[in-house]
Amino acid sequence: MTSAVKFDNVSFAYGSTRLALDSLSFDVQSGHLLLIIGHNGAGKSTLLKLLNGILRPSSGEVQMVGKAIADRPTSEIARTVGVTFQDPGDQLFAKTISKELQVIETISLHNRRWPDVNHVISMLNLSSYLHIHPYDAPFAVRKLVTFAIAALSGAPVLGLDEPTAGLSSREHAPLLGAISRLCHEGRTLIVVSHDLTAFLPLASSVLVLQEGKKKFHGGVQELLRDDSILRFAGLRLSRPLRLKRYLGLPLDNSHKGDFQ
Amino acid sequence: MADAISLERLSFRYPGSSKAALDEVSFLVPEGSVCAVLGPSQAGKTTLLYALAGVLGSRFANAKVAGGLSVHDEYFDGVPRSILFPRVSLVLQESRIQITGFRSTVREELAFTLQNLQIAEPESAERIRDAAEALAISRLLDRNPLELSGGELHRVAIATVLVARPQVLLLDEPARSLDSNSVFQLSRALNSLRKSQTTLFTDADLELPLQLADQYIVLNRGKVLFTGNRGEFINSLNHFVGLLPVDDWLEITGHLRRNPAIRQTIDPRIRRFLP
Repeated sequence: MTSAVKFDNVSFAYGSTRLALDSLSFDVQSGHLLLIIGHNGAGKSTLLKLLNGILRPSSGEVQMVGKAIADRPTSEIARTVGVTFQDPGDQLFAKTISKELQVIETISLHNRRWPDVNHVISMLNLSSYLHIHPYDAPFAVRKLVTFAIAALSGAPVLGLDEPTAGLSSREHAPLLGAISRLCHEGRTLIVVSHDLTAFLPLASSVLVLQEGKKKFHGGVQELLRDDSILRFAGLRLSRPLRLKRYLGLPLDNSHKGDFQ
Repeated sequence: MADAISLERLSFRYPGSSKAALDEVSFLVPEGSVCAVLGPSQAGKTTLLYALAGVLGSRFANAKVAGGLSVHDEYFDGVPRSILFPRVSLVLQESRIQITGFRSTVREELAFTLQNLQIAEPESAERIRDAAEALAISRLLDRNPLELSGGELHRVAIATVLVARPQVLLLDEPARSLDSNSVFQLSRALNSLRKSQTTLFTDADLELPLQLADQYIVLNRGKVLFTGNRGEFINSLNHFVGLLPVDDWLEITGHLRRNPAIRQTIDPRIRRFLP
């Protein structure tokens, strides 16, 4: 089976100093969610920028659906890969949130089965913010809007940088529901996040980066069997997750339905 | 025991807003207890703390207010019109704001509060020692506040108001952005303060509340959805799906209910974290 995304021995250096990514290889299947964790400076955001062509590898190759993206212009890659950044302000430019969503609805070139713009608005509870300027909306709303744009773009691969940062638990549930649905529709997600409680249940695999190198790549249960890997990444499971592990309760959602 | 705080159908609407930030909020907090005010963002948690601290009344003269509140034996019609510090002391969510930033040690930072209250030696040294001990920051007293970790700095911020020896300590989301270990240290520190004052804190998560609080109040859109003690709260968790991060806790309580014998077999160091 061809991977949706493949990094083949990719290295990248900003300037001539230390490598931000060092001989990194991994692949992700269509419809899967890869969770990327690691310390600040581990290379997570660099990886997302290599994914959508803002940065190009110093050596090695990034492939989408079996084809190298090296000769393709960034604008063309952007149609295959939608990326949202940590700060939603970097990505919003229309006068109202409604216009922001309409623009992407019109230029989306993909055969997108789900979602349509109305569905996204109701699912993410954005309806009361449609007519205001993105900068007058709360941070969490702007964050959800950048996600909505990525979803609406129809891009088969989505890269999300800390999508739950700054969101309260009320805003969490609809976002995670939408992400789960996107996977179910066959879209491939690459999520950089410290929020293990939110994303371990959704992840098909986890990549732990340390100073640009692959420290771990494998399944969720395999990751959780060994505390030392998580601690290496500067992360601990939240208290309820640790209690669940102690009690022998499953930590992923393999025992639940795909989504509600 | 007497009530340290009582709210009687308190309503508050910010000037220019069409909906009430607090909508007929009533509850009692007994003296010496720890009360957690829980809810998602926009529930009215911070507004409630600002009402109790006198921040709302001093800042929004034209707001629409109804009902009233009492702090110990003093009744306020509506909200207090002036800041009640040091009797009622508030620690803000952004603890860094509470640190002056120009005192070179934690000790001087704490002394600054006492200078403002005109409390001199030897009492000031004694208060600093007590507060530092309670919050487990004694070994940090000679460090520069700006070099501390987030969890340490947060406890220092609490100490800057604790030296004022408030009757009521208000904390706005003290566990936010703290890791589990720092949350545990904070809960131990706040637990040790029980006898000397009443504590009320807000949270959008349940980790600190379940380790610490005697009383639980759930707010949503300015209204009280629930008040009760720990046992009542744990039995009602299923009502808060979507409002509070209860899913993992529900799985844990469900598992313990189905296997009641298990609890006794669990290491006591872990058992204390179980709901």
